[in-house]
Amino acid sequence: MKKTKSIVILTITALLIVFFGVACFFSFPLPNSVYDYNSVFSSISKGIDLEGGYYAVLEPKVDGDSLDQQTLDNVISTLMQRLSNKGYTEATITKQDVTNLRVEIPDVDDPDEVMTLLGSQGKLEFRDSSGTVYLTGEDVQDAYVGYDNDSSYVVVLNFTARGADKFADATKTISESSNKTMSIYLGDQEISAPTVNSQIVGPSAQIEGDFDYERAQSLAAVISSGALDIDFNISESRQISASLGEGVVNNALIAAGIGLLVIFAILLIFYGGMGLAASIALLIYVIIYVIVLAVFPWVQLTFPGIAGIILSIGMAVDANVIIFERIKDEYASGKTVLSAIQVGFKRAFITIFDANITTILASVVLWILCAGSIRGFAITLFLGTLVSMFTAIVVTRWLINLFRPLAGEKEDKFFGLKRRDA
Amino acid sequence: MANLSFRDKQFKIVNKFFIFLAVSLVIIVAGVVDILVRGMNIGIEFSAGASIEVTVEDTDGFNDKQFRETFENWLAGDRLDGEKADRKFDVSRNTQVSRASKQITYEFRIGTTVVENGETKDLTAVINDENSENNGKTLLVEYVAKIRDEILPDVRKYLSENESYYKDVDQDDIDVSVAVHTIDNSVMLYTIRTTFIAGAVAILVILAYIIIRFTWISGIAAILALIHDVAIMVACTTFFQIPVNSTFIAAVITIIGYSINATIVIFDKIRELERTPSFDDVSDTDLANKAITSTLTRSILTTLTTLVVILLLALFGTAAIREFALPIIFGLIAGAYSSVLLAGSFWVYLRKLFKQSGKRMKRKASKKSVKTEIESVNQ
Repeated sequence: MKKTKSIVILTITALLIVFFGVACFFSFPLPNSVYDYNSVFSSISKGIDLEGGYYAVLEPKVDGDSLDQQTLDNVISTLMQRLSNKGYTEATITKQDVTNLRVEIPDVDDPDEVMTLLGSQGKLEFRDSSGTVYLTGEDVQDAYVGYDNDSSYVVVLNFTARGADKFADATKTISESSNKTMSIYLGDQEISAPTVNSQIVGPSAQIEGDFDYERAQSLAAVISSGALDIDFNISESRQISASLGEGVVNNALIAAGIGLLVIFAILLIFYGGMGLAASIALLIYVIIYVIVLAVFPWVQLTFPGIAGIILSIGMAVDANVIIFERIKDEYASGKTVLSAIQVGFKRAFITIFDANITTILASVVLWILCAGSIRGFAITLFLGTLVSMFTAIVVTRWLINLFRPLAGEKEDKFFGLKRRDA
Repeated sequence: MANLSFRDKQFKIVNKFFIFLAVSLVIIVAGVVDILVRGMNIGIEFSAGASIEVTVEDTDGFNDKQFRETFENWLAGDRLDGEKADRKFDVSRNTQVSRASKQITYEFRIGTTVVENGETKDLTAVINDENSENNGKTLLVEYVAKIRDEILPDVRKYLSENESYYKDVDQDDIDVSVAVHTIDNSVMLYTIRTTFIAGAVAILVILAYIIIRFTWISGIAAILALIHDVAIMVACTTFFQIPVNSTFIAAVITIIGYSINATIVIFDKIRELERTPSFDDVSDTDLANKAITSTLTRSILTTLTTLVVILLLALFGTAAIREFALPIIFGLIAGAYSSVLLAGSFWVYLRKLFKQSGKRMKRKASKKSVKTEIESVNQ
């Protein structure tokens, strides 16, 4: 009975591995459809070192005090807005070294254009339709999202004392002009063009429109960062050609695939049935790992990240080798197969735990302290170590227990266990 | 089924400690000498300046040496056809050449100074001119952008005149791409600083963990082994003039993880034997030898499997991958060497040094796990 149960479970496991293995690694055109199926692996977001692109480190040019975090956040959303307006929707901007910004943009044809976009914030100006400038960024104290009486979103502007006077003049002139439009420019880009129906006197004003929260938020951010008038120094810039990374991922996949086959062979040769269990667990590890990498949004596969993956494959095998050596020892010293397995897993767990926890600690430190590709490495290593501990300990044990009824009387031989020579 | 068991063997590894240490020291000293004589091949991330990456097709009979020299001279002021440029860049740094899938990429590097019309200028200076479209950028950024625009037609011209492969090709159709990378002092210093801080914090955290779980002697021994591995890696990287860049740093960190992992497995065994009554009267040396011997199968197999994957990666990979895989291979071998042949001895000799030899860890009394340990060792 137990035997049948094992066979059924193992067959289902095998089918699941095949199914998920294909889903993870093979892209193919869907039958009767114009769409392609994209493998889970290909959906893992890749860093610009693999995909090609452009990155730059921006250093704000400020006198005296450094920028506060709120200001930097505003600047980030302005830059994001500006980049996505130009079609660079996959750009990422992160803080580096507290005040610097690191911008990564995949797939850039014209690095000069990007540098111009990033280099200068441009001046914030309030103009009328003829182009006369009434207010500049200096006159705006801040801008934020608020609600009007119908509880729809508006952008609230607060002016400085001088700004309020200028704004009163401006609204007076514009409301009496023919098209009643006040244009708000950042650099040479029009970011908003509200209609002014009457003169507005007072320290604040609001821009109404059919805003959803995000649009209102980004307009407020653009205005308030424009009000700050910050320029950036581009202290590092790099264009990475796609050809450099091209083939890296595919070659790494081929190498990893062949590497796994060799590892399976080594495991089978040295540990027989236990090696088989470890090999299947390793396949499950690869599948879970790929899915985890694809699911977590902050994972970005980088060049060093591939090293993290290799290292965690090594560690997954290591854990199993430690366990199997332990089981062999226990059996050699006279235990039954069952208790050798139980004691082996129990004792080996301490070793594996101590060995892996240091790796996890180190990767967390790197994750927190480093930026760019090293962070990618730390994340893949961290996730890989966690998953490998799970598969090497839990999944392998589960599989070995499933194998036992199948091996029956000859289980010691099946698992490659031998008594100590008397 | 193969059997790789050293269970009944007794290797006297600790007794030959000084031989093993000498081998490592010779390599490390040679590395230091090499660093002083030739220097390391420092990549752009760790030295301010710029790199100009020129990628051309790796056609049959392509004269890569001549191409490299021509364009190094080009940057240094000697343009094609004997023409002289106003700007002479500092090209004293190594040019990196790498090949990938029928393409050859030259990474020409320039420093942060330029001699312009006989006058030396600092390229890190920031342009302060409201009317210039380059306002706020460094001279480096501006000049490198110019290089990019000027070098492209000259590369085409050179290829068309000097490489027979292109004799029937229209100059404008020659496949060439140019990418540039500039880096200021501030970013370089930032990168170096974070790398060292992150490395130091990671090592301290690991040390603290080992001291808590094992003993402080084990902690120091593990860190010594780790320093050994990194030193060997740096030495080999210098021998082969592999560029030191963020990829190399990632390789070093990979090896730190691996080295600690391997060393801990040995110390775990030492800890276990220390708690075993039958080892109470065994000397530190014999105890360490026993621990090393009984984990030897694991050390060999794990190194073997990891090495297989990384060797395959080097074999199948592009030049960039190989640049990355080689330091890891050096580090893996160094890590296996130190964890098997040195770490145990570090432990023995540190205990001698601090007069702790023969001290045994306290046993946890009346715990079930102790019983299984006794059974497993009292064979």
